[in-house]
Amino acid sequence: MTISERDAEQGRFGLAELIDFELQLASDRARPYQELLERDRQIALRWRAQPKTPQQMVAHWVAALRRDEGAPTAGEKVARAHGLANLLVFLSFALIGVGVALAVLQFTGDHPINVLVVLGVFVVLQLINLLVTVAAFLWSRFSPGFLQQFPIVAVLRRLIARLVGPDHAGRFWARRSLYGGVERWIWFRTMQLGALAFNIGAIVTFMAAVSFTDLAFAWSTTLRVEAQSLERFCAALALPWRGWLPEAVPSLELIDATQYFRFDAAYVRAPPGMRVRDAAVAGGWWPFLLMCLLVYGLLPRLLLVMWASWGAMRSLRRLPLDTPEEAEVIARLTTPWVHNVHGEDPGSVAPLGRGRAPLPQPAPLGNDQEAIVVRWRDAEIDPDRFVERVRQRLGAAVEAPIADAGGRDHVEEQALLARLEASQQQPMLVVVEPWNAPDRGFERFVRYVRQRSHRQRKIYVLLTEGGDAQQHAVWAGYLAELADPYIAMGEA
Amino acid sequence: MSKASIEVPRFAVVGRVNKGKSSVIASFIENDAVKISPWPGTTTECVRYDVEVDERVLFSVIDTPGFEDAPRALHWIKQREATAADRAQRVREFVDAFEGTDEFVEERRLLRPILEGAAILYVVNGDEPYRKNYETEMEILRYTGEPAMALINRSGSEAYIESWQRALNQYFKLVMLFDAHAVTWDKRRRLLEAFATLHPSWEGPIREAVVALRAQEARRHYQVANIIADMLVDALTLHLTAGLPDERALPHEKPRLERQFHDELRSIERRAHQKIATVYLHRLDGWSPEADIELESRDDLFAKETWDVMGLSPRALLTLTVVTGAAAGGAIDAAVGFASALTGTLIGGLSGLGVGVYELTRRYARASQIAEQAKSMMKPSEHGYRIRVGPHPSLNFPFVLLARALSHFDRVRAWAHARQELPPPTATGPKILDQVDVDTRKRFTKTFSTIRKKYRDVPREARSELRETVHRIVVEHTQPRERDVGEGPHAT
Repeated sequence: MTISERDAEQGRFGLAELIDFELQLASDRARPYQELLERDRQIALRWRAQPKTPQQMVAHWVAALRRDEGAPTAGEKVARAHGLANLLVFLSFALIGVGVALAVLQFTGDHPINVLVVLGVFVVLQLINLLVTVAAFLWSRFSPGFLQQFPIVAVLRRLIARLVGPDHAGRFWARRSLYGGVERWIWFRTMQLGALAFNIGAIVTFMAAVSFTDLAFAWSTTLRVEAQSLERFCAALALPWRGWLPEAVPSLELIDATQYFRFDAAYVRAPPGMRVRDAAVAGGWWPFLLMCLLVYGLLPRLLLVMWASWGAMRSLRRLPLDTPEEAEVIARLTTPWVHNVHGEDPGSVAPLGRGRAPLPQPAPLGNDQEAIVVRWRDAEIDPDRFVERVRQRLGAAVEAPIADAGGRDHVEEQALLARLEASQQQPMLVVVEPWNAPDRGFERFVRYVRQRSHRQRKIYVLLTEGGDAQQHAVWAGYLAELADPYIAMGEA
Repeated sequence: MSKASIEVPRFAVVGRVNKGKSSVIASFIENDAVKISPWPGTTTECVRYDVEVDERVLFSVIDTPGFEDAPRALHWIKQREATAADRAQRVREFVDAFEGTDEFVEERRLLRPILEGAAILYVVNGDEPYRKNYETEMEILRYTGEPAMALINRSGSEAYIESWQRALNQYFKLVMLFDAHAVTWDKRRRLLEAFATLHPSWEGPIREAVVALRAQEARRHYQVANIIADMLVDALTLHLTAGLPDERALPHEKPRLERQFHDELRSIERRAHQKIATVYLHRLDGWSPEADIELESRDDLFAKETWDVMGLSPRALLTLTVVTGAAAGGAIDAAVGFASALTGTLIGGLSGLGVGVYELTRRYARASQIAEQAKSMMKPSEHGYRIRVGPHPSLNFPFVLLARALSHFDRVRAWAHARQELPPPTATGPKILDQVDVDTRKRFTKTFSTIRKKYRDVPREARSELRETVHRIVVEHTQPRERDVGEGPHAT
């Protein structure tokens, strides 16, 4: 059943591929989804031609994954094990066929071979066996694992489990597995292959015995069977070939002549001069027996082997692949893989101000002080209300006009810097809106103020109303990072 | 790099510090690696994110540091401006003039990709009031001469949107609303389609990206359906057994086994929910719906509140059982040629009503003794008693699981990558399964019943049918939602 990698690449799905597919699904369960997405899509992108059916797609997928493994996969091992099992079964049953034929056709010259025993062993028993195995096979459709009741299947399964390891075997023998649906065909085929080999062994032995020994056939039974009845029975058996091979149909004369008690009298107890003629009559059964072996032994088994092989192949080709996990693989193979690639982001998300001294609250400035007020980035305030609040909270007056910095007009900011340079130690109140996070522009502005005026000038950063705790914390952290002891933060 | 050589559309996401540029990118390209923090200066370098479809770059998004000193930069440029035709050149000179200095570091970094041909995606925070100083940034961007659009990133307040729109419309070809914290696939698609309008030659790649995203979304729906279907099968086939030394252990072991059984069901659900998050590139490791919540409280799978809100409503459940019972009774009436005067239908309907009423109260599975069960496939135990719990018998149980999975799916879809945590469940609204028609409910009930009955070996057909039905429900579930959401991005 194992097929080459080239076959797999062409989309053929064999037993090895099926087992590897199921084992791959099992091992993929523990892998991150993104990894699977990337891996499978890259496999699909390497295909020279788009597979047409899900089976072909999965066969390509398994072949691609195998290529990376190198060593024989579990599926290949199982497929080989099945091949080995088939060979063993074939050889064993061929030998059994030879042995049984030798036993049945044992002829020492003293007693003729009973035709009914030959028919019983090679036709009746075989037909019963055939019916039993076919019925068991059909029943296994409704009762998975039923074929495992047969000792031959049980023994071979043990052999396979030993070859691939119980863990792997446990996975593909698990319930819900796809392999379960195919396995019954495979074991049925193995069983029929054994029966075929048995018949081949028996027929070869029969022909050898006919060719190289002088066999004598007779028939006898304890039951009251007339020659006419046996003739009718034989004619019925010979129905498939009587039209085109009449020599292989025993005549009533032959049947009558070879009934054991007559035959014995004529052959065994006859004077030596008479034996030769009767011996020739006794050998007249062999074409009929050979045809029985061929038609009721070999041919049905050959047909069943072919049917089982076709069934196994068909079930492999028609695997539903429609359970969620299996459908998922198809989806991964057929859908574009959207992802993004990016370089390293050196940015830091660490909070600011950690390990720095906490920022002080603005201290009262005193009545004799006039503060310069700066609106940072167009922060909105009600000037009158603000002036009043500064007076109440800081005890200081506000020097007119209220200036702007960081706004649309940079010239305005330059004028402010000149004013600050002139005023030197006069406190500066910077009104900011909490949601406008501090930035390099603000840092540069503070630096300019420090560079151009007195280094101990008090700078109070006053946050307007609104904003959340996080935005306040951002300002506090940012200002703390400046490590300027003359900067304080409060509310406007 | 000359502009003519640029084939891959590139978008530089620019704006003021801490206005949500990185959040927009993270949500837009679904990337958790984008560094987002409330602290200013998180993005210090330009980071390019190539969006690839099957290893081919379709477009790039560049995260840039924010404007920090735009008024001064504009002042520098304006001082050297001669005519409008010179403006782009002046911006280029500005970037070159301060190369190697620590002046205008952020401005130079963010302007460079734009000068190399990237389109501009200007991001402002619509939750904050508009201030005129933003015009300096917009002016500089306009000076570059590159195609530009603006994105008003807003998460709640509408108060400032109008003023932002009025201002932005004067500077940008296209202005859109966007909520980086509530981005669905549909919103991403619309934003992407808007990009195509910026540059005629980008239409092809953008359309290709949209097609790929659409296919990706369809695959995600498919995968979510697979996960939910697998979860339902796992939950409906779960059964636990325990061997007891003697009858005295029964009062202790029975509740223990029942508890273990329900915990295992919770675990099955949790794993499925985590997998659904993975489909949308989110991680929910360690998360569980019951985190920090006592069992039997709001969010527990078996809480009364859960069953009241999720699963089939009492009316739907009763309708289902009554209709099923009446149909069964009606079949008997039909078999006797309606000689029974619809007695079968009546009795069937009443029986269905009784079953429905009973089902309404049954949330927990109970353990039962199985030692004497003839149907049990268990091997004879060396213990005297063997108890089993499961599969869960409640008719409503799989519907509760299904509804909770769909609800979780909604949350995951609404989970933008700019958010740290899974968004809370949507507060109120119709019951999630109300949209499922009666026929589908009946089909579900039948499939659930098959799975429960054949819990030892669920037929592939049942799993396959469940997958298909769940997939249909998932697809139907997403369609109206995405139409409803439709809030953005909106062109203004």
